[in-house]
Formats: sequence, structure tokens, C-alpha cells
Amino acid sequence: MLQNEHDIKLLRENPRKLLLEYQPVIRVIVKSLAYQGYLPRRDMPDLVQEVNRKLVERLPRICERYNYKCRFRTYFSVVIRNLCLEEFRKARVITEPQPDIFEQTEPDSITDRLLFGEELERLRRAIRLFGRDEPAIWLTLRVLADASIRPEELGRFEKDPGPAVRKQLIRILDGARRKKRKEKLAILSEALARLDTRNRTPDAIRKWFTSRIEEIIRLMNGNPPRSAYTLDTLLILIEKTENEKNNA
Amino acid sequence: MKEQKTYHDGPDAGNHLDENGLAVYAEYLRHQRDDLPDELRIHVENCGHCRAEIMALTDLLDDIPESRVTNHESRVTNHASRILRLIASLAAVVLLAWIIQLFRDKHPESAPTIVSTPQDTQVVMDTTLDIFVYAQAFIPDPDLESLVSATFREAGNPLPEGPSNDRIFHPGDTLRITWSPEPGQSHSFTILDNQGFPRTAWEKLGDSPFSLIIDLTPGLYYWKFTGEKVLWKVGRFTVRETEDERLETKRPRDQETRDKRP
Repeated sequence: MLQNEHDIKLLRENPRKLLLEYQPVIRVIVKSLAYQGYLPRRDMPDLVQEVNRKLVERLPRICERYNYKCRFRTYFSVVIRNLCLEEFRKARVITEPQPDIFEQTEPDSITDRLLFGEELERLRRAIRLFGRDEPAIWLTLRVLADASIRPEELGRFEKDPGPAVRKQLIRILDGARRKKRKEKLAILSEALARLDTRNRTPDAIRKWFTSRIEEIIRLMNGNPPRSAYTLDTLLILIEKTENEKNNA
Repeated sequence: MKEQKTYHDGPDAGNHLDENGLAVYAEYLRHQRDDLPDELRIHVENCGHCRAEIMALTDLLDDIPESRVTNHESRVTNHASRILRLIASLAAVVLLAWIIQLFRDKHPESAPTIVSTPQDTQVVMDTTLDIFVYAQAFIPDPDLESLVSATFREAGNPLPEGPSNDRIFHPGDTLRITWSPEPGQSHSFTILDNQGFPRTAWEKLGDSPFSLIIDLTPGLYYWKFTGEKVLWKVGRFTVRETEDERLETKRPRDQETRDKRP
């Protein structure tokens, strides 16, 4: 039986058993939020207990509100997270995580590669959240990071200029390499004007990109912050993964 | 930018996505589904609050281990494989019935009746759940594992020594920690379970050595030896039940199973 069918069966027939089976998930969520600095780690067992109490209390409502359009596991995780956040807000405890002091013996290149991969996937998700703006944000970041532009990246815009113009645009964008950021943005605005349905001046594009990138950095860093990304570190991330790909 | 309020599904709708909407979008970002309803896409495109919620949620979902019933739940329901499985199950039942019938025809008097009772099924299910819960207690915690293999700073380190990381304890065994005490320094000792939750802790330890009698349920555990604000060492050990306990817990279930059988 697939996990989702199993969960839904338990939800209908034996919700308490379902809750029992979800104990590891509840603990992971509480732990993860605690490590993000939402609450002191010593309060984790109390919070697990409180979340369980509330889940038992609200199970009928949770069952009623689930609309079966997503996996139950995902839906239930959102519910658990919301319950935790509700508790944090009540307690008004927002503390910085207390990092354990330790030193790694040596840098591990495999771990580094995995980490870069995971972070790039997070960046992709953050950009995907912007819907229609996704191709333009990617293109801008890749040009700023001096990464090579592929024709298929230009084909994802609302206004596909066709293969001949795409080729021409790639040549123009390649010309932006090693140039100053301001010059790169000027070249980009020229390219985006031919790809985008919105007619924007270079200044409008710079403002649009600044506001988007500020939000992407906030999304990547999280709240409370889990990372300390800046535009430069995001560009390094793109550059590094690009190099890895080329070397592979 | 003006916020579009187009997605209405659930009591929270009208302002932001409800739990179902957030879950659908998170699954889309995690490549667990290919389609995304337009109203969801448009709402998120125009709602910074929901973008932040979805990002935080997908990060959180990455921390949750994949479900145990199946690790690779298909994105698109594979009807063909379901039908094949159903046919295979039916064929197996028919074959089994035919074999039993054949056996009974050959040995009409001595043939035992093999009947699977609901109680048997329940016992098997309970045992599976027990094994699952038992096994969960032995899954290592990645954060603590990295600390077990980490090198801690040397300056002021009281060099605590504990059991080796592959040591297996049984309830009633003694765990012993030694260290080099320094004047004015106070130390704490904590035992954490395999999910990183503290199980027991001792503040302001006296003189070295420190001993304790193991009174923990079977599982993987970690210990932390800390100074006032500094972590000095992390170790790992396993607790297994003794042979006597294992038989004790097994016996009543076996007995119960026998009693339930007709």
C-alpha cells in the first residue's frame, strides 16, 4: 500500500494510531524549528507534548479541512508547523540558536559539493516562486555570475523571439562577461526588452531586479536567519556549481 | 504591488493560502507533482507572505525523512502496475486454494485446516509496528554524528574520556566518564536519545570519575560533556535489552497468540 493511502485509511479509521505513527515527524519538525532559533532547545520535549495535545484535540477539524489534493504527509506537516509557530508566538520566545563550539577536522569536498547542490536547489525553488518572473531572474543572475547562457534559457520567456534572435541575444549577453555590474545590467535590459512583454527602461529593470533579489536573499536566509546570503555569495554559488558542472 | 486575492479554498482563504494550498505548492517545488493550479501560481506570484511561508515550509520538509511504507511514491499514479498487482494477488489466492484442495483430497482424514484468523493478522501487524518503533530508536542523528567525529578545541579541554562509540550497554551496566578537573571549572553531562532530545542531565559534576547505572530503553544514545559555555566532547553508545528481557517481552505475546487460536 502506498504511504498516502495508508495514511488516509488511518485518518478515517484510526486517527490516534496515525498520530502515533507521526511521532517521528512531529519531533523532527519541533527539532528543526528549535534549531532555527525559535525556542531554546531544552524546551523541545515540552513543545512535543503540547503539540501532541493540540493535535489530539483538533484531529476532527484537521480531518475535515484536508482536501485530498496533496499528500496527507505534506498537509499534516504544514499543520504541525503552524501549531508549533502558534506556540512560539504565545510564549514570545525568540532566541538566537546557541551553536555548539566545535571544529571540523578537515574540509570535506564531497560534503561541500552536496551542500552546493542543496543550496542551488533552494535557490531554484526561491526563484520559481516568482512565477512569470522566473526566467528573467535566472537570466539576470546568470549574467551577473558570468555563467554561460544557453538558448533554451531564452526560450522560457513569455515572448519567444525565435532561434535567430536567440542566437543574437546570446552573443550580446556573452559580451557582458567580465564587465562591471552596472554595464551588465544595461546589456541585460536590452536583452530583456526583446524577451519580455513588458516594455521596461534599464532603470526600471535595475529597480525590479534589486527588489526581487532582496526578497530572494530574505527567502534563502530564512526568518529567523539560517544563512547569511548576499548577492555576491549567491553569485558565487551559481559560479561554483557552474564550474562543477563543467569539470564533470 | 497590489495583492491578488484569488485563491479560495479553506477557512484561511481570502488573504493567504491555507494549509492545503501551501502543501500543494511545496510539493510542486519539491518535484513531487508536475502540475500547479493557476490560481495558486498567480496568488504566490503576487504574495510575498505566501512566498516566504512556502520557502520555509519546503526547507522544513527537506528535514523530514521520507515515509517508510514506500520511499518512491510515484508522482503519477501508475494504474497499470496496480492492476497487475491485483491480478497477481488474485492468482496467488487461487493457486493457494487449489493446493489446499489438492492436499485435502489426498489426505481427507488427517488434513489440517489452515485458516488465517483476523487475530493472526493483527498479531503480525502489531509485531511489524513494534519492530518499526524499535528500529526507529537506532537511527543515528546526523547533527550529533558530526559532533561525535569532530575534533574539539584543545585549550582548556578537560579531555573527557567515556565509553567507545561502538560500546553496547545493557540495563544495569555502568557507564563511566573520567576527565582532568581544573580548578573553578564546572562540568555537565547529558544523555540524548537518537533524535537529539535530552533524556537525563547532570549539572555541576563533582570530581572525576562520574558513573551512572544504565536505565534506558533499547536504542542509540549520545552523551555530551560540556563546560559552562563550551562543548568538550560528544560520544555515542547503544543500549540493548538483555536476553532475559527479550524473552520476557516476547513470552506473553506468544502465549497470547496461542490463546487466541481456535
